[in-house]
Amino acid sequence: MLWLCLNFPRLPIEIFLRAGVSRNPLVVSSGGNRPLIIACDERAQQAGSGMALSAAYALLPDIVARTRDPATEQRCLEEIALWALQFTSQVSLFPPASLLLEVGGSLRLFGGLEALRNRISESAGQLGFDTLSAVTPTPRGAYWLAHAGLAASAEDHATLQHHLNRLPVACIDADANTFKSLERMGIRTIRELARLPRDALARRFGQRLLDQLDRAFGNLPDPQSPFSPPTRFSASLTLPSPVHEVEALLFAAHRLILQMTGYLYASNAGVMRLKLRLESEDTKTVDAIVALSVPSRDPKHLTNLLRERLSVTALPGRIEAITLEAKDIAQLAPRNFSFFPDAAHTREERTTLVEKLRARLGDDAVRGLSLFPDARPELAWRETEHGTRVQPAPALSRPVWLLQRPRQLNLHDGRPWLDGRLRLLDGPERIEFGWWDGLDVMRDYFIVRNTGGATF
Amino acid sequence: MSAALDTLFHNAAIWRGSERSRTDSPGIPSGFDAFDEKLGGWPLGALIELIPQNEGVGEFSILLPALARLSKDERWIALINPPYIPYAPALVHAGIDLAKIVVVRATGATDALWSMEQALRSGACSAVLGWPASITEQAIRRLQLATEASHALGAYFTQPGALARTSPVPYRLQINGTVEDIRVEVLKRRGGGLTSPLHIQNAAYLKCYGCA
Repeated sequence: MLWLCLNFPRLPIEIFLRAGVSRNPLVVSSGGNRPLIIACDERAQQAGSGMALSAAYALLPDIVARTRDPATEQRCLEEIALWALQFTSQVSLFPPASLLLEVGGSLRLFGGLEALRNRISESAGQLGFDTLSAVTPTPRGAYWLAHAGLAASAEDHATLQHHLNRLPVACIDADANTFKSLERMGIRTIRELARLPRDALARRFGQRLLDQLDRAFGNLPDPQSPFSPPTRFSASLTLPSPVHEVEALLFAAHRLILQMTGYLYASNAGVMRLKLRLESEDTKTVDAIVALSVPSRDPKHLTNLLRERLSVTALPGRIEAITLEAKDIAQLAPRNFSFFPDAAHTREERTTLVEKLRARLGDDAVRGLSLFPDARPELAWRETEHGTRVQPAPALSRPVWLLQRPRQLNLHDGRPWLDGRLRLLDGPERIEFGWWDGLDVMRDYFIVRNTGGATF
Repeated sequence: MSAALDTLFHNAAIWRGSERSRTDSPGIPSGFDAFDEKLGGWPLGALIELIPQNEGVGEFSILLPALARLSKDERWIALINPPYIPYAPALVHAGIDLAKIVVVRATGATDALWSMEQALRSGACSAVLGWPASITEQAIRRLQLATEASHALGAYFTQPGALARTSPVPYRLQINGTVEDIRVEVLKRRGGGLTSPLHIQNAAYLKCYGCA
């Protein structure tokens, strides 16, 4: 087992920044009678953590202050857990701001620990979160290291011990009295704490503290309750300020799509229908729906499709909130990677093309053709789903174009006329057919040519 | 000549003025001897503008043998905004595999050109034929770049009025005559234009009606 603890040190403020940058500098305060600043964004750097909100207002008059929102943080952490399922099947929540990922089984797939860690932090960055991660064989060890700000990775117990020994005692979970006693005893690091006699430690501070140490060092099993994904995916974001630009909407939507990617990995599925609900300031809503012909979970592809769809969607005003829903999901067919570009590769390219065209032009804009056994020319063909195999049929000689509706020709001196006088080349071919289905025809077909050389 | 230089000359991006008849990229046989002899078939990876003098003089029929050949490929043949309904039985008669035909109907010239570009860039099409209502010089350049990257047959049809304008397209062919005796005037091509029009005997076309 190898545990990766993913800590989100800036979660309290990131929940407000995720959907886009707000116009004014933003700080998050603790609330209450004497609000203190907990976190601030880049433009509010002057107002550091721990400063009283009133002092911050004096420094930066145009800051926007939000009160910390633990409920949203918790919900957000669950959404991140969903995203994290694309890296491993076992993810556990460690509130308020950490996730534990069992990555021992994922190393080979992602090309080693370093590659996996890079990938996770890069993807988290795209999702809108700063991360700090530590990897150790025990979950609590990883949690302690990540919280102490030590981005260490220890794949064996000896290295783990080395790293843990350096940590301050403050990382253990205990009450204020315990810390006070430890301080009086002159115990400052985990090494010093672990060196104390075990029975004395248990007597004085309780078994719980001893268990924590044992779990961190891996002497006691430490099972984690796995996070189980919801059966449906739906996630919302409130934009920092109302927008009507498609790109700004896509920025936020892309983050939701990344979250959905984790959900789709967890259920080994791809999405078939995607709904993005846009809510405007005056609470009007409009849905942008993207339908796919083959299930997909490629965030880039899905974002592209959404971009095309949004570019033709009439927005009901400035958009304040968006909700992404995976309406239909379907199992993904297992895919083999091939060294040479082959038929499967072409098929994939074709699907991508069709989805892209449909996203912008509408679902009916892309069609295939097929034959239908009927002697009436206008019924001898059908529109089908593109790429449908066609039954071979007796070859009939016909012109390559068919008019949507027959056009009546003008007569000049009793002869038909179309951009000039028409000369008869061939005909008639008499077709009498369909008296039984009410669409009976009795027609003579001619081939004619006008003076310009055009043949009809 | 050194081998390195020789391979350089086979690069599609380079053409020499001295080789007037050499075309830039390996084309695909058009099915008409006269055409193949003078132009080396339909060029792949270079945009073609087809200007029929009248609608119905064989501007689409002239492409059918080449399309039949291309439809043997896994990739698609995209028809974007065709002016009428492409008639399935006729396409089958010409030897085209219907499963490879995709008809795209876009509203407006912008969407039609966008679709052409997407189809060319996707790598999923062996031929992309478009009938845009209008086309700007900038759009032509975009399409040309997309065609170069695609190794596909990329062509669009314009009105006879387009003749008066200059165009950055590498191949411009004016089509007139009649469907069984198509005259192709090569207004422009890589390596210099042709002075005399090509006559393409397309006797097979009328024979199928039993009157040729």
